[in-house]
Amino acid sequence: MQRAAFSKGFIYLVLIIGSVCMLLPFAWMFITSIKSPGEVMMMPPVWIPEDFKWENYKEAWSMAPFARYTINSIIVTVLSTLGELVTTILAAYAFSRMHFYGRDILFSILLGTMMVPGEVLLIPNYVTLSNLGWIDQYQALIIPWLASIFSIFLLRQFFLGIPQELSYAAKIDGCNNFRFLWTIMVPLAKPALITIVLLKAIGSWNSFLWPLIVTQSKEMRTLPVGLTSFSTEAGINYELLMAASTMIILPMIILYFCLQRYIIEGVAKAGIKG
Amino acid sequence: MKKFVFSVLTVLLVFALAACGNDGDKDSESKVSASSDSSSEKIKTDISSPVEIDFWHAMSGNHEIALQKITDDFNSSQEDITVKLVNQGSYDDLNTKNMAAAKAGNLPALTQAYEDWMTNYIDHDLITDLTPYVTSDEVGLSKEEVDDIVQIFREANTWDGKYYGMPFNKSTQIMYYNVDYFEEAGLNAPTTWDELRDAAEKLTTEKDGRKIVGLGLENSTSSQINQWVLQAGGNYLDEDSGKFLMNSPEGKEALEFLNGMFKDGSARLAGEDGYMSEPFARGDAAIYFGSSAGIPYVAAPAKENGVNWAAAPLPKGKQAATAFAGTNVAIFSSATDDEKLAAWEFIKFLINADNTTYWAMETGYLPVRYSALEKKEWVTFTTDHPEYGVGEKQFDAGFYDPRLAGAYELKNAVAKVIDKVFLGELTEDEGLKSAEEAANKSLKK
Repeated sequence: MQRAAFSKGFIYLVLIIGSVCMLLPFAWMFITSIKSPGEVMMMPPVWIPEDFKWENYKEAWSMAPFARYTINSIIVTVLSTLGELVTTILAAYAFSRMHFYGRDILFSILLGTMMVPGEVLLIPNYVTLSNLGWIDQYQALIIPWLASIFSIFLLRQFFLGIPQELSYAAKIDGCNNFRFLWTIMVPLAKPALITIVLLKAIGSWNSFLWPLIVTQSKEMRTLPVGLTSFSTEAGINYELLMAASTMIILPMIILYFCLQRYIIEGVAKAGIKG
Repeated sequence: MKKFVFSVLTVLLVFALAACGNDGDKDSESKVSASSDSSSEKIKTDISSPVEIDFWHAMSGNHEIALQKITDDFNSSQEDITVKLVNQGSYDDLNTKNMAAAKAGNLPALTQAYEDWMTNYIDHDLITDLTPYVTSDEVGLSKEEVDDIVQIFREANTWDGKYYGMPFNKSTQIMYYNVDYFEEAGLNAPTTWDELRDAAEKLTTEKDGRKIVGLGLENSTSSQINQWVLQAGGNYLDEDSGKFLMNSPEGKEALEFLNGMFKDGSARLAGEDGYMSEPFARGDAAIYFGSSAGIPYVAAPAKENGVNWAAAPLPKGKQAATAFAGTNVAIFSSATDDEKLAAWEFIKFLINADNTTYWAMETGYLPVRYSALEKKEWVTFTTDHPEYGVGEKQFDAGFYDPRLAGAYELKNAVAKVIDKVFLGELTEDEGLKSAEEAANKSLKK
């Protein structure tokens, strides 16, 4: 009994240390966001600002058209996440469950493209989009990101782990590929899909260089681009930058809390299955 | 980030080579060179129909607000031309975007650009020779007006006797110092290296359990090592021959001077603080060498922390030498004749005496015209805020960074080696030798 209590206590201790480490950057960001400029870089660090400068938020919000940026970020994130989900499910199913000539070679070619660093593609992609006349439009922000090889790979591996017997049973009951995919595979793959959604949404929400490169006007830009308003070559207004960062990151934290339940559920279920 | 930009540039180069086989690109390239040839003969001097041009820039925060104000004034001052400002992020982002847009053929009319970018743009026929505009009877500048532009800035924009840009946001290195610390120690602001070292040593103390360092330097000191080498009477890079000259007795002297102060603790780099302005403004450094564009970043926190400070020109070694940094404005050759003329009209407005004064007062950059220095607003302003008047005192000691294509990579390669010397991983002699190797290697690329 005592031993169990001790080991439980130890586990909690480790978890507490872990969570403090994870939360510290967020806490620091928030604390910095309500500091005065002089306190930002103070040594030793100021943990509780003398007075809370909530007006930093107001000032930060007014430095750039953040309302417009927010709308753009939401449009881009939602559409590219949904789009990627659809392409990923279809491709992963084809590569894991359907048999056709050259499937494995095709898949390795796809994997090969993951080896090309994104920076190398920046300029050719820009040129392509500009030839299509998409510069400074939503298409440029969304369409190039509608498929992700990494997600396809992730989901394919997950699909491969689902027993073949399920598809035999479904086929005997007269279920075609498409229906089998949507009614059986997709619900089973929920944890993997949630992971993909989270990774994609966070990546899309935070992406900076691509939206900056393919847009020209303030009306088309996204939130991370807005963060550049606070830094110049001579210095950075950290308190305003952190206030803006806190506002920007909030939706992603909420999304994570909403979806986190499913990830844990999925992991737990997988455990029982084994 | 620099690494990233470098890789982007490398890729660009590859694509530029690959593009030779591409018909579409050939067309646009020949068009560009054709129009730049004709522009040196005659230019359009009146605008036939209203034009809208884009100005790609990297100004943010207060700087962007000030630039927007000048642009709005310009747009409402006449009817034919509308200038639209487009912020392209940081300087690195702007350069990346310019290169991408050059490939895609959708460059704006106007851009901000550093001198070494401009060398590269000129090599690729991307920017227009402004000389016909400057000398034009109808739309040009008079001899007095040209001479009114600060000489060092004019030279920085001249290649083979031709103007390819006009100076816009120019800053310089100045010396900030803590007035209280200097008074307590009975010292005057240093004007020479010897005085600097002496003051740095004396002012390195501990106060109420807080360590105070004599001289605080930016992390970029290693990439600005050329300033110290020039002050020591040496040379860094010869623009004509492309020869790296720092491996010399003067180079060694500069390196030993700095490194000596790092070793005995009387100087330090910003390190984790990012910019030295913050530690200086909280009283952790007695002297600080920084950009004049950083004045607001010193002034605000220093006021809050009750730190009394002033600014002065950089102390001189064998000679005075002060780096002038910041960008110019250039016009892309791909613009139509109307757009080019519109862009030129805007440039003239941007750097007229009134606007360059307004710009300098709002941002901490320097006025780019001599006449601006005599304007009543500026005189009153610099009497009230003497720190803003320091930069102009150094015009005669000014130099600009080497503009050779690849100078940016060279500077970074050398800076990496110099950082190793500062960290004590290499001796000064080893550092100079491998700096030379690194420089030659990056020049060969």
